Formats: sequence, C-alpha cells, structure tokens
Amino acid sequence: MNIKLLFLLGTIICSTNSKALDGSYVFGAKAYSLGFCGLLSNDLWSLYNNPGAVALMGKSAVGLSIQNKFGVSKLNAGSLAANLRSDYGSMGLFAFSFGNTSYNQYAYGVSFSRLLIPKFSLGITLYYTGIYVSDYGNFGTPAFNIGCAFPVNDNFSGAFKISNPTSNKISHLSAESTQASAAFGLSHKVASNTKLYLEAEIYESYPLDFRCGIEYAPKGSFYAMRTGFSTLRRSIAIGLSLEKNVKVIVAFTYHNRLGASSTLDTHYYFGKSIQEK
Amino acid sequence: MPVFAFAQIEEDEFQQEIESWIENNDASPDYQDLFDQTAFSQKRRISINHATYDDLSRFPFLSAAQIFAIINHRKIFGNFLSVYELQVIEELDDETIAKIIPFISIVQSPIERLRNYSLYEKPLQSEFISLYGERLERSKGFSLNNNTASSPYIGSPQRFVFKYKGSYKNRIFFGYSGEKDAGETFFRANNPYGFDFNSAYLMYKDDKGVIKNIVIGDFQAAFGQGLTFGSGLSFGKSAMITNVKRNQNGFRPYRSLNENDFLRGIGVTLHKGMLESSLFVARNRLDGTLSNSDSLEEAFFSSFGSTGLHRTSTEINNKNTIGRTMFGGNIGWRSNNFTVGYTYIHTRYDFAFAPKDIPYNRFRFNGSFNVNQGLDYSFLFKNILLFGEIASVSIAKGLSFVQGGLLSLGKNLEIAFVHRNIDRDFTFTYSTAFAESSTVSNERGTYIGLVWRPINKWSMNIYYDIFFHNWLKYRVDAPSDGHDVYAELQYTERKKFAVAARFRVRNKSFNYTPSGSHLNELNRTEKLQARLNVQYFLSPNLTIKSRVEWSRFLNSYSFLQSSYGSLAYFDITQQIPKSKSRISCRFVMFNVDSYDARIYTFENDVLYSYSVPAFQNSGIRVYLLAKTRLYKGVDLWIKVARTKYNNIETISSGLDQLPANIATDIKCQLRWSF
Repeated sequence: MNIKLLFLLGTIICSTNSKALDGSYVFGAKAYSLGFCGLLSNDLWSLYNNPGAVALMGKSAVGLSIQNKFGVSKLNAGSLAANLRSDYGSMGLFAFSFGNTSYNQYAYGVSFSRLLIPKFSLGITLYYTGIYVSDYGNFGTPAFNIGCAFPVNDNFSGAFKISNPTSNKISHLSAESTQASAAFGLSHKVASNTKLYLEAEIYESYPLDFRCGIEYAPKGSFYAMRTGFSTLRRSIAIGLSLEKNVKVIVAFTYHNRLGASSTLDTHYYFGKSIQEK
Repeated sequence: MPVFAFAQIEEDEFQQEIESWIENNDASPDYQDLFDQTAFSQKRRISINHATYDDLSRFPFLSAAQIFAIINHRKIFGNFLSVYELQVIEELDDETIAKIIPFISIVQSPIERLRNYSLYEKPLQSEFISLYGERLERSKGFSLNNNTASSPYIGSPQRFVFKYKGSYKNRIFFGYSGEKDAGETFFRANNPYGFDFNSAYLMYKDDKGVIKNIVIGDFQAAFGQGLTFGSGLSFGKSAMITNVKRNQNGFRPYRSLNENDFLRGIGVTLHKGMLESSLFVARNRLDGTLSNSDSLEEAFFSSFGSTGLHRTSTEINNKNTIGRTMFGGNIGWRSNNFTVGYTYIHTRYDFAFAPKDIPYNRFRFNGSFNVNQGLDYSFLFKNILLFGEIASVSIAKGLSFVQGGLLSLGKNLEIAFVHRNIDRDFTFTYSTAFAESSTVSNERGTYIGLVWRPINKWSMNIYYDIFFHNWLKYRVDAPSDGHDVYAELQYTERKKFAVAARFRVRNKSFNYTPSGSHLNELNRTEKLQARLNVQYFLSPNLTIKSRVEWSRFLNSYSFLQSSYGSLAYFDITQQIPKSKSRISCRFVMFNVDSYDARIYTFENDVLYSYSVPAFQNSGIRVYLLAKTRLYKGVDLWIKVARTKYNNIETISSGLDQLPANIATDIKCQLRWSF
C-alpha cells in the first residue's frame, strides 16, 4: 500500500471515525468493547474519556494501550497513562499517538479529579492535541475536557462530559477546529452480574452518537465479558478482560466496510484505595 | 394544625413546581398567566374541607386519583380535623402530603379563619418588582441609518419592567404592571409618561358573601371548558396526562405582560347558595393595521397585532387602533359534585374584521359583531368525573362541543379522554378549549391518556390523540388529519433521584409544491422526539440535572429533506440556605438541522419569568443565574446567558438580526416584599 493511499485512508478514517483528537475520540479497550461507552468505565482511560470518573477509580494505576485499525499496520495507535490517587484527589498523565511517519495525530495532557461530595466527582483534563502531516508540518492546539460522575446508588450511575467547548482552531491554514461535544451517560445494574451502559453524545457537526454496552462480570471471577454498539461509528464491539495482579483487556470492533480493529490494554494497579486507607 | 404560614414559604418552592410543570409544555408567550392559574399563585391557603375538584386540580402534583380520594374521604368521614388526617388516605404518599400541607388549611368557621389570619398574616402585604434586561449585541434595528441619522427602533435597547401587587386582609387585591420592551421609548416621544404598556387592577373577594368578587381594571375571564369563552392561556397536551379539564370559572386579576390578551373593564361574580353568576363588560384597544382608514365607514382590519412591540414608527402607528367592546357572562348552578352553566358573550369591534380573501379563511369570522353562547357541565360520581361544553356562534351556527372524562381505577391507574368536534364555522378568537391547534376551530379529534403506576416509584404516562381538520388551514391546502403519540417512563425517588425517558411522535400534513407544478400537494410530516432526563439531588442543597434529547423531522415526499436535531445539557444548582441564596448554572450543546427539528428546553430565570428557548442550528449556550437576599424582604436576581453558534454568521432576521454569531443577554431583578 503506497503512502498516498494510506494517507487517503487515514484522512477518511479521521473524518468519519476519529477526526483529530476531539470529542469524538474514545480511549481504552474497555470503552471500545462497550460500544465506545467511556463515560462510566471508571478505568485509567477515563483520564480522557471522562475526567470526572477518574476519582471513582479505587487505586493508583499505570497502563498501556495499543490498537490496530482495520488490519493496516500503519494505522496503529498507542497510549500511555498513569494515575496517582491521594487524599486530595487523583492526578493523572496521558500521552497518545496514532498514525505513522507521514500522518500522525497525537495528544498529551494532565488531569485532575476529585470527589467533591461522597457521590459526586468532578474532573478536568488539560491537553495539547495536534496533527503532523509530512508535507505540511505540525499543527496543534491546547484543549480541555470537563466531566463529572455521580453514582446514585449501587444500581444507578450517571455522568456528563464536555469536550473542547471553545472549539479551538488546529491550524491557521484551515478552518478545521477541535470538535466540541457534550456527552451524557447512565449505567444500570440490570442483574447482580450484569451492567447496562447507555450514552449519548452531541457533536458540533456530527450526528448524535447513541451508544449502548453490556458488561457481564460474575462476582469473584477474574474475567468479564462485554459487548456494545455505537450509532455514529456504525460499529459493534466485543471484549474480554482478565484480572489478577495485572488487568488485561482486549476489544474487537467491527465496521461493516472498513473491517475489524483490535485493542489491547494492560493496567497495573498499586497502592491502597482510599477506602482501604 | 401545623404552624405553616404561606408567607414563610420560599417563593423558590413555587417556582420549582411551576418550572417542572411548564417544562413539559412547548414554548408559550405568557407564563405568568399560566402561573396565576395554579394554586401557587394565590396568597391564601385552600380549605381542604371546602375544596372542590377544580380547586384541588390547581395543584399540578396531585393526580386525579388523589383528588378523588380526598373528596371521597371527606364524604365518608366528614370534614378533616387535621391536615395530618391526609395520611390515612391510601392514595397520598408522605411526599405528596408534605408538598400540599403549606397550601391548605382545615379552617371551618369564619371565627377560626379570622384567628388563623391574625396569627399568620399581616393585614397589608405588598411586593414591588423591578427588572432590567438587555441584549448586549445590537440588532439591525438599533443601527443608525446614514441618510436619516436615526435607527428604525426609536427607543433604547434596554427592557424595563415594574410590577406592584398588594393585598389588604386577603379581601382586597390590587396591582400595577408597566413594561418597556427593547426598542420602545421611555418617558419620551410616544410614551411621555413612562412605560409603553401599563396595566392595573383592583379586586374585592369574599368567598362567602353574595358578592364573591368584583374586579375593576385588567382581568382574565374563563367559563366552563373555555369553548364559548376563555381569555388568556391554558395548558394543552402535556406530560400532565390527566390535566385535560379546564378548571377556571370566573375572573382573575391580570398580572401578565402580554399586551393584547386580557379584558379591561369590570367583572362581578354574584353567589347565592348554589347559584352563581359572573358578568363583565370590557373595552380594549388592540393593535392592528387598518385598511381604507381614510373613511371610517369603509375602514377594516385583516389581522390583530399579537407581539405587543411598538418599536418602529409602523408598529407605533398600529398601536391601539382597533376598539373592542365585550360583555357577557355565565350563570350556573354549582355544587361540589355537579355544575351546569350557560355562557353568553357579545363582541363588537369598532371596525369590520376582514381576513385576507384566501381559501383557508373562507369560514373565518368576518364583520364587526359576534355573539357566542354555550352550555357547560361537570359531574363527579365517586371516581368518575365527566365534563363538557356545547357552544355556537350566533344562534346555532358552528355548533361545536367538547366532551371529556377522568376515571380513576384505584391508585395505580388513571384514564382521561376528551372528544371534541369543533365546526369550521366556529371561529371565535377567545376560545381556549382543549384542542390540537392553538386556534380552536375546524377540528375533530379524540384524546385518550393513561397514567399507570405499576410499582412504587415507577410511572408510565401515555397519550394518543387523533385529529381531523375538515377544512383547509394555514399552510395546509386540503382537509387533513394527524396524530400525536406520547409515552414517558419515570422513576422517581423524591428529593434523591429522578430519571425519565420520553418518546413522542407527531404526524401532520403541510403543503408541498412539486417541482414543475404550481399546485400545492399535501406532504405528510412526522416529528419524532426522544428524551432522557436525569435529576439527582446530591445533597439537600445541591442538585444536578442532565438531559439528552434527539429529534427527527421527516418529510414523506423527500427523505433527503428530513432533518435531525440533538441537544444535551448539564445543569447544577446550589442553594445556600443561610443567606437565602441560590446559584444555578447550565451548559447546553445543540446541533439541530432545521426549524422543523427544533428542540425546546426550559431554563431557570428570574422570579416570575419563565424562559423556554427553541434551539436550532449548532452551538453552545451557557447561563448563570444567581439569587441572593440583600436584606429582609429584599431579593436580587442576576442572570447572564450567552449563546454561540458555529454554523451561522448572523442570528435572527429582519430588524432583529444580529450581525454576529454570539448573543449575550443579561437580566437583573430586584424584589421588595413586606
């Protein structure tokens, strides 16, 4: 596959699936396998998906995520993240890169999240996102996400996130700007082992994305199974996670024209949770 | 008797209740008038031992089943001895009782009433409100014309409102409202004495006397089911599924700022035993454009002005051009279970009304004189309430009727129905009967609604309305039909958590001109709306609210022209009880393709103002509303709202057009009550 074709394919994917690193992007294999429901996945990738939910993570963690899109080796993505819990809140760092030497999207940022009251957490992620195109150069802009999560009780949780409300322009060369979005999600424990996730996200210029995911996680088991779909990405997803000392999550998403993508996450949790302390 | 005085209850409580009610209705121009129709607006508590179905149904949170249960309990066990006796009524839960207690009393005798009155109420109660509002960006109407060195809008861009309302010993009520809209003059030019709109009333009220009430000045009147006559606004189809009966009978003082929708004159209600009679005479001057105005005999008008705006020389010239005289009233027999009444209304305009000579206006009222009369009834038997009204124009022209019923099948199921058959010849402007269209004419339809509470905390609200129009309508060049389906599932843990999922489909026909043709054809359209709403009380003083709504507007002739809309908002409200302060903030994001797919959302506003903007295009809206108590009895509200659009360069059209994609509105209101 030559570079031009690859660039074209990358552009199509960027415009339909993951345009720049804007509100339409979702990180992490867990969110992928839940049909891109990331607002209440409460894992390390909440640093980007919903900074408000980071405070609900039990422990500090570091993690790595790698992804391949549609079986094309030059469409790989990789992310690194770390989160440190303290009595004052959760502080996190993340970095992301997608693409190759000719076309690359990247982002890196910091996040802070805190439980304001026992059932309400608020967080903010500040990051820098950009695009590198070999013939044109490097363009980027700072951006931010604000999110909150509110576990109402053992069965219900809600979350809300606002991404890039200022719609900063990425480059002075074009009118392209980071996509503003607002997302709202609910999770409901429909049975003792099964959780339903429902999310909707409004974008500045995309249609409404309605996402739905189901997680089956037997109590005391080391595994969990997930599946879901997203109307914007027109994808269905399945996933599995295994957890001992290290958590490993895999996800497969399938687009009916572009094919399958796969994601692999590894997380390592350490320290005591606030509850244990 | 609990020591609750009405004056002690925070006004915010009323606002929250009315907010949640209005939120379920589409935008309407005059919310104060709707507020005045609820039990929250009155300064006096309702006697639970004398309250009729109509009195109790003015509490939006009471279901039909609960009202029936209160009335039946009173019939079986006699008068309530304490408001806490409500607890033995199975249909009433603790939360509902807690909500209703501040508004009711068990007063039985005049002496007791006097005792209660002297304990809890001052003889003279007054409230002053002044409001300032302004849009910071200037619209085209305010820009100077280089040739004339003046702008089309003669006045300043600020909006000012002043209101006073008072009462003396809960017998005499009086009030004044003055308003200057943006662009109207103030203390100069055509308004040398101040406001562009002035309204005042004086009312005497005595529920037990022969003269039940007398109102002089500006007032609203409504009789029966509002078919023969009802001025002002009325609630239509809404999430309050069983709220289909009109409960207003008689007069209420006018406190709103809608400049063309009230009566100015005198009204009196006489009451002897079960017999009650309301009579009024009113003379109003309405806005309108006169044609052939050179000759008074041949002068006529083809439309009424409804905006109340007098900013340009044309609008000022059209102000108060048409005189209207109305008189009439209602006489009826009213007991707790059965009412029957006859209404007669005579209307005369100074000039002939001649609507544009186009097919859909063929049966519309024309001329300068009109007589309406009608017969209404309501009948309550155990858990069944039937109500209806038959009316005609002149003697028997345009014979029309509304017939409805409410049925409570236990505490878990309530059913409401309304059938209306309103003739195309029934073209009276002041009808507020239950109907699909805002103009009550040319409509036949049936509405069935259902409220089902299968298990504790869950409720399902459903209605289905099917309607037919036998004659043409505006933008509909043939007889047409349509339907409206609504379903809502709610889960509520009061003061903790509430989630509601709503689905609504409205199907109607509109004109469509096929390419290459000059004739309109009917195009069936369908608007589908889905909404998920969550409210969560994080603490007694901190509430968050979030909503996602999606809409789709489909054209049957071209799917390519279908449009979509989506909206999400996040709202947070913090109360600070110590300083009687409240801060409310909302972030809204919307992406709506067209006006047809527009989405309405209710938003908090300063006291007695209710804002329901319609969202279209793509953008972000943020507002901050703060309220604080400056001093005992003195409260201040400030609201700043900013909307930024991403896909348009200008906002609105005509003289209201802003040459920018940002609109910033500020409001500041001060209230002094003593």
